[in-house]
Amino acid sequence: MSKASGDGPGRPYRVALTGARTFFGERLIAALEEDPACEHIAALDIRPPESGRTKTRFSRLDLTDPSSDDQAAQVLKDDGIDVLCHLAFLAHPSHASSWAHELEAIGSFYIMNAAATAKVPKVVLRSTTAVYGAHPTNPAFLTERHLLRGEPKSRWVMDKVAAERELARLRKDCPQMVCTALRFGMTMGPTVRSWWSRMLTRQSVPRLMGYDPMMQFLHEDDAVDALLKAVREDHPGDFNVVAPGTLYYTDVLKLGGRVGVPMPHLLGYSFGNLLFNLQLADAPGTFLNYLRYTWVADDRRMREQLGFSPRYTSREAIVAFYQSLARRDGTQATGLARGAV
Amino acid sequence: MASRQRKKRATAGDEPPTAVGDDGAADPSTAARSEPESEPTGEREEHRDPELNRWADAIRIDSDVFESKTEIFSLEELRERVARLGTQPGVREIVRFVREVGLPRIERLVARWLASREVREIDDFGFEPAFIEPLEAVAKWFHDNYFRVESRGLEHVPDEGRVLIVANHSGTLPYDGAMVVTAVREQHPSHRRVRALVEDFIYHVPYLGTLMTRMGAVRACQENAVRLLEHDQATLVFPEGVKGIGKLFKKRYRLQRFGRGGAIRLAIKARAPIVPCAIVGAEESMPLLSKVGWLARPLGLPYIPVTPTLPLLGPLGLIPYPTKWTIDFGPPIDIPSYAADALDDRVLVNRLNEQVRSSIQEMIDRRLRERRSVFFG
Repeated sequence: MSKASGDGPGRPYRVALTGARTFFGERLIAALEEDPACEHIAALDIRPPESGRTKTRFSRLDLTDPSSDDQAAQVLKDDGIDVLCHLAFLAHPSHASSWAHELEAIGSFYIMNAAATAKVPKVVLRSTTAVYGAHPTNPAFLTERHLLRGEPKSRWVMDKVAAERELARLRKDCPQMVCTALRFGMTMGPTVRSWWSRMLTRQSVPRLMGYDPMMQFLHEDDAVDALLKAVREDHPGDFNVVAPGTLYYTDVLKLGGRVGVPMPHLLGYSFGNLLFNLQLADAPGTFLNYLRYTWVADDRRMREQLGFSPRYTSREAIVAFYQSLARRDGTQATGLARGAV
Repeated sequence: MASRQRKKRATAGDEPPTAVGDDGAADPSTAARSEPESEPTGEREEHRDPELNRWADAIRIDSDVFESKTEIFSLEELRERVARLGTQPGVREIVRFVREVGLPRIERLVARWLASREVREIDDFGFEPAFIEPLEAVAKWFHDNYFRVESRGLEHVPDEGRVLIVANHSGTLPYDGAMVVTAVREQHPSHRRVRALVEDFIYHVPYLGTLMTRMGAVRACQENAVRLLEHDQATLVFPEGVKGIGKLFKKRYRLQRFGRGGAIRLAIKARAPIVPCAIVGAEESMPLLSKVGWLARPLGLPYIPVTPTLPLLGPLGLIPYPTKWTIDFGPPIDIPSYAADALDDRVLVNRLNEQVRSSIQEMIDRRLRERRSVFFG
């Protein structure tokens, strides 16, 4: 299926990005500015991106605005866009959950509608493997065919599932369109920040007594590379994008010298909700499920069909994160000295 | 730090250390001398002036004297005695030996323990070989000396490559799985590690799920099992599941339904031969008399077993009885050769399923006819 691969500049293309000011938006714009095949970048967000250079043109688009589908379709048509990247997602669970729902679930609905109206040839969605949800009945490796069960009690996760559903609907409505969903594992690295990295920044981290799930990460550079690959080449379908290797959660804490605070699971959920509502925790109690059951994704499809292999392993990704923290704080990251890399 | 050095010097100088006050009186000058070379503690820093130091020590000594009246042993006095002991000719050498040889050795031990805590190698499923090694020794003891397991037909398990071992499940607690794994590990020429597929409910129960995962068990579902077989692992499955292990003693050695034929579909899908396996002796090692359901549900368990000893003797009841076990491995049933397209034909899958079940039942019956004693075989 791939049209432009390898070293050549390939077929020229024009890109539009929603969420241009997000981490992935900024990094992707920086990469596209370097790509000679990329002719034009339409950056859509409520604030202009900082990494935009000569090719980037910013248009203000607020996805919580009910007329945003019309505005987006106008930009897509006027600029003759070939690829639409939908990246406007929140990295942290928000306390304003209804606003977040408007932005992520309804915003995706608007954007997919705009893409259908403007007849954009390709749509790339940034998703996360969290959409599978952490359940005790998960297989050890979740394939792309697996049901998107999410976490029914967490709106942050369910909004991501809703965005995936919108893409699936678009795929059904417009079969000629190339629809790609990249489900990133937990993205870690020196600069990317999320609820998860915020949690690991603290010295003491919650842990559920008697549960030690397997964890899997993705380095931020690999995530951007995968996005770029999906933009440059045509790969219809859903792909788990995850780094090779898995670690136990306790080992993740050990690598960073973090102290796991054991909590009984019967109390943990309500305690977590309490802390989140008091704005003392980074995620509500339901997220403890992600520290309780294994939700590791299978990378076979990514390797064989997307033709992508990450440069960093899971362990290298998490160590890169810890090392950047240690550099920032000017401390020696404990535990890193011993066989970390 | 500074005060300890000072004290040693004071006692080494043969001043009578019985009265605590003497030490204090000798103090200010030595303290003033020792200060530049040794790092001053926060306390010392406050009173740099020797005059003030004397006052400070006088006050402290007063309080010490006061305390020594109320306590049987004042801490200061104890320290004095230890310090005096340390200067005795024989003891001094011992102290030096401990400090120069013993402490580094302890330090090294601690460092080694810390290093053993470091992130260890695991496979994709979370199996940690370093974790299971000490447990294997325990299982081997049970295998050799406790159950005196007699394995026959081990040659039917291939040295390498994928194989699905299908066995009967019994005995209230899954000791039978551990024994099959140990039998292959210890007695098979390849010493391969068999990976067991375990029930779902384990993963709802705290500690149990993590423990089993680290020991190399994998949750029983098609995706996991196919992946294991594709990695050319020997995989052990108990198709009866909880129904088998949780059947009452009166139904012993009567095989339950083999699920919905998942094991057969698995063998077809992964193109793996099936080795039937009959375990005799496990039923009597923990005779299940009754099951308590209502108590188990909140704990996430399928049932709480009642055996002659289990609730009665508390945790001691978890120890199985030393019955004589035999494990028979039958000749491999090569399902893929004649059922390549049987996946869609559920009736055919079920027929094959029944075939495997009856062959295991036959092996069990044959063994039961030969057996004369439950405990001595």
